Amino acid sequence: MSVQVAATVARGEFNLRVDLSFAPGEITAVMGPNGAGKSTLLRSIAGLQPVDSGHVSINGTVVDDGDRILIAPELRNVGLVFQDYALFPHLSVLENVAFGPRSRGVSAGQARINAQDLLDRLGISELGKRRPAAISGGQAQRVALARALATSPAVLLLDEPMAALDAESKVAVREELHIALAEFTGVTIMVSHEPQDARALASRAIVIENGRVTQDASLDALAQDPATTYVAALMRSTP
Amino acid sequence: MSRTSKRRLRTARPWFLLLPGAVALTFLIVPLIALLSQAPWGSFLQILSNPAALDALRLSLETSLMATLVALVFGVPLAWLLAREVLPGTRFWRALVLVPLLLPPVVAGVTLLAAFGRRGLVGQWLYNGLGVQLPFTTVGVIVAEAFVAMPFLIITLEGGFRGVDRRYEEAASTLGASAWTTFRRITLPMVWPAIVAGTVLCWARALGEFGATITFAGNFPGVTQTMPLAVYTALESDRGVAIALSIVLLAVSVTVLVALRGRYLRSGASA
Amino acid sequence: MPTATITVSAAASLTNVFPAIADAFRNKYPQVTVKFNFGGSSALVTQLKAGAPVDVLATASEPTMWSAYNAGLTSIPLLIAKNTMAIAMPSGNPARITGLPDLAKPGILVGVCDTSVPCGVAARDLLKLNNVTVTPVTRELDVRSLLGKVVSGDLDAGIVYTTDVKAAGRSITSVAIPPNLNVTTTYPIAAVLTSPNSTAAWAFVRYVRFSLSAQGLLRAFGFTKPW
Repeated sequence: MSVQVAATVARGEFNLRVDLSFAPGEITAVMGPNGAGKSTLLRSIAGLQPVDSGHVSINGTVVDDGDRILIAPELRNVGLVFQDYALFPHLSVLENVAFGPRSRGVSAGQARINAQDLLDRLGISELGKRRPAAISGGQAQRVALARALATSPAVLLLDEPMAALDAESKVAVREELHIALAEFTGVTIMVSHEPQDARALASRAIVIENGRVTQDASLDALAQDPATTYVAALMRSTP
Repeated sequence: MSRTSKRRLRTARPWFLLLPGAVALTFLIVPLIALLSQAPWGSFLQILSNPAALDALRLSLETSLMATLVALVFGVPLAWLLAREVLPGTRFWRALVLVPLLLPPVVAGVTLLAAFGRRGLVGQWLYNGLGVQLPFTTVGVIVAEAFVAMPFLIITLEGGFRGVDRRYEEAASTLGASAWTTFRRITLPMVWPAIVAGTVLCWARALGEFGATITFAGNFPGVTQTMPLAVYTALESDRGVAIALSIVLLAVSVTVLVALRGRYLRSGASA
Repeated sequence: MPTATITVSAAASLTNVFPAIADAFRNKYPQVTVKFNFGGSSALVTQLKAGAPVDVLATASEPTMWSAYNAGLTSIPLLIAKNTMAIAMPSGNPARITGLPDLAKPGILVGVCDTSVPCGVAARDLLKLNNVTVTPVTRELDVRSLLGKVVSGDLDAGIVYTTDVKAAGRSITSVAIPPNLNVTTTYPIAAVLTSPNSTAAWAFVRYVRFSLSAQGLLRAFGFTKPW
């Protein structure tokens, strides 16, 4: 299971142009200033943003060739955790997590059993019946993760997973994420602008500035040998 | 009782809002009270047991419900298309959808005749080719009511659909839901309050429709004479009957609105 | 004659002829402006009873006028014209109507006025007089709407006034009804007693009834003598 993105996406003021490969089992952090194109990269992989030229491949299958081939998100087997989780407000937590499998044809009963199982594994088993409005930010983050994992995706994309949390919750959630991601065998790509998250969770870091990849290496390499002033400032700001 | 519960913040009931608001309330309520006061209560039951009156009521309820159903089946998709700006020239189509709202109802009836009358643009094909004629039929009543009432539903729902963050639909698609599943399980439930509000508005408008109905479908008891037509016809000869029928129509409408008020209308079109 | 504006409530079937009469009236009394309020006769009387500020009332039936007179609202009415009935068909007469009996044929779409308006009463009496049973598809609330649906071709035939046939000209085809088998409606006119412009109101009433111009116009539009 691997992901390849060698494409250009026009984004208003500038283009995102990348040529990246991701391997299964690898957790990559994508960092960069706001508006650099990080979310665009995730959305292109998920199928929510078509590329203008080039291609996106998942497991060797071209899902977007910038021309005729454009496979819809529902057929791509990609899990996406949104920045503010986008939990369906009118469904219970359990139904949220069961939604993906049910949409893919799993029976309601079986989907709910699997969903409860996931909730157990993420330490939020008792939240099943609650509505998203009635849970905390940290809990919502785990529900969103469970929901994305429930479909056994080949690729897991996390868009600023900790951005909506307060400092206290971040520490706890980082731990939980670390455990959950360690069990995941597919490709994990996580957008974050905080190097702490990258350090805690990722083995590889990519920095995107103005639509181009400015550095793609391990976190130590970024700290010891920053390629740009932005990277240097970024790595300096962490304890 | 403590002092705090008797005192109120001045800002909670400002006079410059209370006064005009009270005037508006009075303006809307006084005609209703006047209607009730002039009703022929003595002969009320006798008037209502007249088969023509019952026919009119039955016809009104049937046609308004059917018109609302038609509006839902075709209006919900159109509202979605307008909200998502799928069609080229969305602004133009949106304005066009509002036209039946602006037309005087009789004019709406005239345009319907021009379109669906026996010699109408579409009507002539229906008549000459299929032998189908819409004027003077109950189906014609449903067409007239749907024409004037559907825009209410579409406008209300478009606002509702716009209020649904696209991210929910995106999340659903990444989870594997087809467009239909997303619409059915995510989008529609999230606009439910707008659907209810729009449906009620649409139904109320259809129920009260007069000008387009009489111009397009005509006036015949049991077939096309809905309550508003019956009231107007009675007005020519017996005002008491007209008032009695008006009160029945009013009672039916108020009952439905009150029944729905507490649960749905309060949240209005907000998701 | 003081300067005045008078409002005349007149039956719908007078919609074409009365403005022409008002123009002639203006020539004689330039200081009087005539405004019209056309509608179904019963509706006009209802409005008057509810206090509408009207100066002259002209209806298409005697019973409606008597209703206003008996309520003490008008002066004694004068009869100004008579009207008879005719059958109007869309131009080209697609349903091949040749007389009243044809209206009873199955599948023919016939329109009449509702019996709550004078035109409808006349139609009902006409059919009864001629022993024809017709199930109309619509009972319109005023003869103009009925005529409109004949012109547009949505009805195969409509029972309307002779004056309507004349006014519609080429847009319809018509069949006349022999006088001995026809129903006549009479048009009374009266001044409203509560009018603040009684001089002008009375002048108009008398003008319509007695002047050669007005009666000539009525004849030209298809009305017959009131006596």
